[in-house]
Amino acid sequence: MSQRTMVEALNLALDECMDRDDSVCLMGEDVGVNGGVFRVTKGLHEKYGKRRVMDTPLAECGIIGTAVGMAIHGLKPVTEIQFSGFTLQAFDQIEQNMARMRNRTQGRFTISMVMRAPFGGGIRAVEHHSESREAYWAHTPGLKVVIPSGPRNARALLAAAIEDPDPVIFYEPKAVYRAFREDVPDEHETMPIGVAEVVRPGEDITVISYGAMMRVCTEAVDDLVDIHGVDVELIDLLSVSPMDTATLAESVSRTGRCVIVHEGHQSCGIAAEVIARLNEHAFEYLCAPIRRVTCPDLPFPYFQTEKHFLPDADDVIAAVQETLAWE
Amino acid sequence: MSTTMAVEFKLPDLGEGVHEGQVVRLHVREGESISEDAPLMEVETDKAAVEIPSPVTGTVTRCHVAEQQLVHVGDVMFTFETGEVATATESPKPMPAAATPVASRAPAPHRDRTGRRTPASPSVRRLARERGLELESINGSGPGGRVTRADVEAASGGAFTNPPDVMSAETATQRPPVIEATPVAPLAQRAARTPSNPLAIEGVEDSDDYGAIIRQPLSQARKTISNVMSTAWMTIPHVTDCNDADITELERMRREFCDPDHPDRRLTVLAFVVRAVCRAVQSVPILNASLDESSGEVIYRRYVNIGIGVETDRGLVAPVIRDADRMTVGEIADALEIISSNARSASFGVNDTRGGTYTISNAGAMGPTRYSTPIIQPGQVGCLALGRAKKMPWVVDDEIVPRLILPLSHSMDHRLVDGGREIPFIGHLIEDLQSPMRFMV
Repeated sequence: MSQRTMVEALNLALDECMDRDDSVCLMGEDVGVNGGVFRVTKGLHEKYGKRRVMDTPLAECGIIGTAVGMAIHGLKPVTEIQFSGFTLQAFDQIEQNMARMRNRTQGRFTISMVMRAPFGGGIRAVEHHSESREAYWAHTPGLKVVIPSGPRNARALLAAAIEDPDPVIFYEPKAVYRAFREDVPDEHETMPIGVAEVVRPGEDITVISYGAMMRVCTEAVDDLVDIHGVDVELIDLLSVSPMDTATLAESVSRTGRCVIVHEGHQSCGIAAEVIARLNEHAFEYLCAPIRRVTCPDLPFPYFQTEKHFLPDADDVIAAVQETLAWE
Repeated sequence: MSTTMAVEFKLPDLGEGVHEGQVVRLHVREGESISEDAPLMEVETDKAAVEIPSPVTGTVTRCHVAEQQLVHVGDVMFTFETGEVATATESPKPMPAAATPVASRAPAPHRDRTGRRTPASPSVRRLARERGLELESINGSGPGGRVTRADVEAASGGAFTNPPDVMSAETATQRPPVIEATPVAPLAQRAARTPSNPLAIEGVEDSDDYGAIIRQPLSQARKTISNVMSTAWMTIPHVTDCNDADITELERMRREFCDPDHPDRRLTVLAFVVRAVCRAVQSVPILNASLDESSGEVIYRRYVNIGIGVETDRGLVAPVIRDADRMTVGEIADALEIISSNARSASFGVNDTRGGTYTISNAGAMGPTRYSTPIIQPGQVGCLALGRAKKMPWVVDDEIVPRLILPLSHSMDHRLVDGGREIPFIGHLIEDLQSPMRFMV
């Protein structure tokens, strides 16, 4: 057990998976000699060599297309897209090949690969570096979409994603990359994909979030519990797709009230999907309309206005209080 | 020809900050006619009970609210039909023979006039279903007439009337196991015991761990009082100064005085105290000020409006005597007389209780109280409570003599007022009451 940042924890997961399985290889822009734009692959080029840690040209569509071909032939590529905004360049390969190959070949070929990409705001970057477009991939059948919130679950989920037989979109909240350290076990650890975590059990209201917004929610929940006396149940989705409907429905059936917090745009976002599922599975227990705290339906702004654009703890507290006041 | 017109009457804006109220009384029923300005309904708001006059002359074709219902500004209260009524010379329109008589047509209580269903959350609908209640038969107290959980519980006679089979096996298994406490003999008898204390109190019968209880919702007025009191108590650092005034001389003069111009006027001690307070704030104006924390200013007022705390059926109210400093003791006595008669019928207007700058509570009028710690109204800095005056052994010129002593409890807002200013204030007041000649010069 040692204290690690999320970047160090991700590096640990990549290192141990490469060590355990020779078919695991890394590819992406500057992941080799340079160690990655955020240094997630630092040291791996020296350790495993250029045949397993490959620098690619600036061509995202090529990176994903190549990886799909490698996966068909039995390798387990882990690709890094420098910023999630650049994945749109690879949209065609992700959507047409990566997601559908298993179905198209009637199960003969599975695409065991991971597409890693840092995403989300909070580091005063530009618009295509700061977006949260996980809803695109959650909408695509055949993809798993995993989003960790801290060093320990980042390591365990990345290891699980690499071991998974199907393609996994692994979005890393870069605002959390070096935000804090956490105890991460030295020995191999994985977490099941598709299982949400009840971070704090409570009885009054359920707050659901994931990624960097978990920190905002934790801050809000601390205030709500300590100052306002609200017993909040806080749930970390961890996996946006497949979604752990059972855990969410069980929680909201008890509390009757729910607020969902994410950075992605509101319309047709992950919160909308959560609401639809709660409507299907917990309808008769609802005491109030479920509220969403999200970024507005606007392109990500320049960094001067970023903090007004992103949800903060006050927004979450206000939404929780409004939901509790509804009767 | 007759021309009629349907007019909807919405609850008007009742004054600053008042958004909702409770219907206390409806003076007209559906089908009755009413003339313009005649009393239509009485609504109790946060501030006071308000009599609302009819805006038109006409017939009430529909009453959209019930007594005790919570209503909001803008909600439709009544629909009137106005205009000339058909004259007798016109023959009434014959009913089509085949038409179903209106009376036999099943009413549609499930829908309101706009065809919408009764508003309620899914969980409340489930609760109503479990208790076998028609949601539409319950008066919703929530925003927009929404039926709340509390409404369903009240309609089903409280939570404890649940038949035990309501909790399904499914929910029962989800519940955490309850560890039974060691039974204590007297507690075990509880359910069988009939309530030893039959209280004639309106409310929902219920029980807690120690016996039978009655749950009664707070009235709108009580909610307001409790909010104001807790705000005042939590935000104003109170210091209470207790004193006595020897009013033997004042009482003698008061009793002996007979005003031929106003033979019915009751010159009470309170009237003199109001006058004395007005004189004292003129010499120590900070007691008539208020603190504006947001701007960091003291607001000195050039007017003196004295609130008089009175007990009514709806709780404590402080109607205000405006410009009391410009009134004689006699005029103050007349104003107090109006206040006490209004207090009996609890008929204060919204504006009657606004704009006070200092409040006096005549607590002694209610019974044998002496000193207390009055709570200052937000926006004021002082509050004076009068205890019950009583003959006491008093030392005058080194001799113990019986004197009539009025206990005074005076709270100040210590953010603005220190003893250095309060003590001269109360000293001025006591001097006035002990030497009534000061009122006259």
